[in-house]
Amino acid sequence: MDSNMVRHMAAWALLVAAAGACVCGCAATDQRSPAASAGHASSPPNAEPVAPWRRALLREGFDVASQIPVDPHAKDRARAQEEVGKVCLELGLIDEAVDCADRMTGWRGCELYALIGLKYAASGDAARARLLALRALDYPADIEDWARDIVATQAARVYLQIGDESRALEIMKGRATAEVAKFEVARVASADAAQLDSQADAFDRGIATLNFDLARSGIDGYSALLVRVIDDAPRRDRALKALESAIKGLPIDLQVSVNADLAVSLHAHGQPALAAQFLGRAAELNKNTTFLAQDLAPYGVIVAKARLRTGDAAGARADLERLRTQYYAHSEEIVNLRRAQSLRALAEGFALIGDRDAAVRCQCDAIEAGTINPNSRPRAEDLSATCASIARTGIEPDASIRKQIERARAGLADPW
Amino acid sequence: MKISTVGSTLALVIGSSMIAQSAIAAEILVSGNINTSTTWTANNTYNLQGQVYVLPGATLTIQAGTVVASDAGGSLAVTRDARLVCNGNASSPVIFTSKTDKNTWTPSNPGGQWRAVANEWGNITIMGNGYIGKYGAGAPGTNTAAPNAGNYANMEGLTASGSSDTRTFYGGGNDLDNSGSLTYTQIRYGGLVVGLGNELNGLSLGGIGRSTTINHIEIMNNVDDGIEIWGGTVDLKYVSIWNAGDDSFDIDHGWRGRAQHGLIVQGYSIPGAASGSGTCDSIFEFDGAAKSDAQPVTTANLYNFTAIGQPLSNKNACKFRDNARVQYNQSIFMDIGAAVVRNDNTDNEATDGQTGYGHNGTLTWANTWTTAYNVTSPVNPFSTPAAIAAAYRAQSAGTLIQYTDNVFFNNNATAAYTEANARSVFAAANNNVQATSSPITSITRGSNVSQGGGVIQPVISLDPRAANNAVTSAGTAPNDGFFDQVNYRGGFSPTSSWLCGWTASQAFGYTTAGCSTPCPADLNGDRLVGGADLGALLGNWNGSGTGDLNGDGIVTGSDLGAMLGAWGACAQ
Repeated sequence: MDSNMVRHMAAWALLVAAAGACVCGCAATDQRSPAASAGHASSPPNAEPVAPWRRALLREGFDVASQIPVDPHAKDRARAQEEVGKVCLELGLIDEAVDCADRMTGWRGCELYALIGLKYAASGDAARARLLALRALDYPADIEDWARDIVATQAARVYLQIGDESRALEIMKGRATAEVAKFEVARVASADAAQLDSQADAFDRGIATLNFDLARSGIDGYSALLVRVIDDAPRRDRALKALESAIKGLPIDLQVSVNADLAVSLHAHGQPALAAQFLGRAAELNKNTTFLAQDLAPYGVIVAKARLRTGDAAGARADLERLRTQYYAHSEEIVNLRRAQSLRALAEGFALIGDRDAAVRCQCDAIEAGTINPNSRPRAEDLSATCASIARTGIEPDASIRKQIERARAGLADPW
Repeated sequence: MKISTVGSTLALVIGSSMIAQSAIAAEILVSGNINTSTTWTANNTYNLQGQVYVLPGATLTIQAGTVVASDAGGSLAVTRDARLVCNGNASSPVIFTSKTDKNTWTPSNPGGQWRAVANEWGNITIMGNGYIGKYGAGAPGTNTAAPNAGNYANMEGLTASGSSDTRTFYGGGNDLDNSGSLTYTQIRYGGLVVGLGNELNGLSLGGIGRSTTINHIEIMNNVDDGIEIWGGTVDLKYVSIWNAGDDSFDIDHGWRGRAQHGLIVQGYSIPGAASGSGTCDSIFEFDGAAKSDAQPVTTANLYNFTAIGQPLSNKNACKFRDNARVQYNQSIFMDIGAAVVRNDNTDNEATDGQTGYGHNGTLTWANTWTTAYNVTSPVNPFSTPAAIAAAYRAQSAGTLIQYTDNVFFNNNATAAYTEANARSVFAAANNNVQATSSPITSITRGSNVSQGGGVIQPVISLDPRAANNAVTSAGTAPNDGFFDQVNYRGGFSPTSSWLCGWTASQAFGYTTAGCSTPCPADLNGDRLVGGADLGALLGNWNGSGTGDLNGDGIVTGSDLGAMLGAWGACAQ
């Protein structure tokens, strides 16, 4: 065993121990955390307990991403870091997400602050939300317009969520149309019932402008509106009609995910028949589209997950098994640094249907697939993403997978 | 990658892809694929042997001052998911050229001199994962008219070794894609494709995302185009293109980027060659999409270009095809041999879609001029699956095609302004000026040369700094984090030239105005050859790089002699 491997194993053990000893984790060590700044203990908006190993694995993923040299890979490094930060948020690990953002440079760290702020805002903690929004808006002076607009829009959403619409509108003034459209969608969530019709009118107008960004905003807006008017037949029918028409104008890849998301949402709101219609459309699109080999599993798994979430566990399993077979039949057609993403998608799909063994096998293969490229940058990106994906699945890695991760990490060195 | 060294050198070859650098300059022959991240250093010269690919995952880093001088057939292609980090600097550019050109360099003429040649080596091709607008004839059968992350295309001039060879593909679903950075780089005398009937562009960019950095690029003598961009969102700044043997700045398949600070000088690269094969064609040729109802469709924004045509060439300044939407602002169009605005409608290439403006419910040519910038097409509409990317960001005001705040000068063809007038380019609100005095400081042309069915008057001296109507603009570019808010028209301010220090045009003596006289012995750049420079030279005795004034790869007595000979203040 070489010294690198020993070091990484030791680090792993320390991380697990530290996470297990202190649920609050980063807040205790990070003087700059918003929890500390606000003068009271951190209380993640999503308070569901998260196993220490998941925290440790996310930390591991972030550390792997951070091994990518800033020069000349600053952009790739930040992207990989942010992906881990987003999974922390997804799991409700707010302090870990803040820690990620604190350790990042460039606009992506700012975006992550804003996303964390949104979590706080959603939980009703306006003070921390505002603090995070401020931190997000403290972006680098040389930031490019498109990145600045992305960050500002997320920050504006934070203000909107905490009820400070005037500040939100002030931030959005002069932003690019695309970002403004996304912001407008967010406003639907805060509209009261009396405004729903006028919101729908606005969505119709957006779709009718033939401006894609506004039309897309209309679709997203109607999707958000639909669940609020699900028991109000005239309004529900209006929303459904508009959605069915507008979705057909989207690119195919986006049609798949929008239809699948709507199916899940409708099912959750007691509309199984409608859910089945949207799911059927998503599946049909997948079936009739010739995707590149590297896209087969990622798009297919979206539909499989939607099947499960709409009550069709058998269908979801059948989809996943077919996709797995397709992947292994065509994996050689996929450039090596693109293979692990298919396997991660499959693993997450199998984990969702409760097939732990299949998920673990895909995770093992994902780690291995991520070690094929002879350069450490793509290997680190893959390993980081795979660590985050395993944490997301909730399947605790056994000793064998941990060794795989350690081996993969120990191999990160020149050339990058 | 296979590397071997040539000549008397201490370089050591290890395995098939690693090399230990020696203190003595070496010519490094590079062939095959670059599979692992590699750095090319300024103390060597690299000679590309055949088509060299940088493979996915690998990063090719090229140090400032490195010369890549290749034999015929040598060419560099950077695949999707690979990176090129090629960063020269203002006094030490990276130079891609031919070995033939390099052999003309001498200590007294270290940058060489202009020759009427091209096609002496290949080019630089970079491929990325940004969206492209291409379906139908000439595209993979799986491509769709609507934007799709699965849409891709085979790069012009590259030949796949088989159906599973993806090295030649560009396009994808990530407009934020990062292919690396390319700065302060000359690309000279290229364009040769071995075994194919067509030529390469000086710089080919397919599906390049906006996280890629490209600035301070010069293309000198190339056949085919100077720069060609297919789809993607990459932005460019400080671009100098001379004597392209076809179009100077060519766009296809839905480029949605911005460009600022440009100089384009039309001319010829190969004596006797037809237009498009060694003699200039259009300055700008912008195609929208293929077919034209596909999305993304080219939607671009250009500020501060100085476009200098050939008055007797019968060649156009700006061609528009297949729904292209382009805004030209604060620029100079002078000495144009035909129309300053020309609607070709389609590209007339059977393998590239065609169908023109208005096809399948898209905007007509006339309506594209009057439709607001933010009205994107409802036909096969665009989106990005990732929420952080927006499809069309380059334009932020005005109409989809517009000319504002430009200067037009000495465009004397009969139909020079026919289409421009039909589109109200000179309406007062557009602030465009037809000048009677030159908008640049000076230009000198050589003797007439019969080329491409017309006459070319080569530019042999140019001071492109703004003059007269170009000194002050009516407005400035938007403050969007990319554009610089400058208040002059054209690519250059009245007082300075960004061509100084790093370009072939300066090395050839064409654009020396506004530049300090080169002072190679002034190692620390303080315009004084003195003790500090001597110390730096002696500190690198028997080394390479710093202090190697005669370029022989080692710092010795002859370099010391050259420094002492230049002792004192540098000439201005």
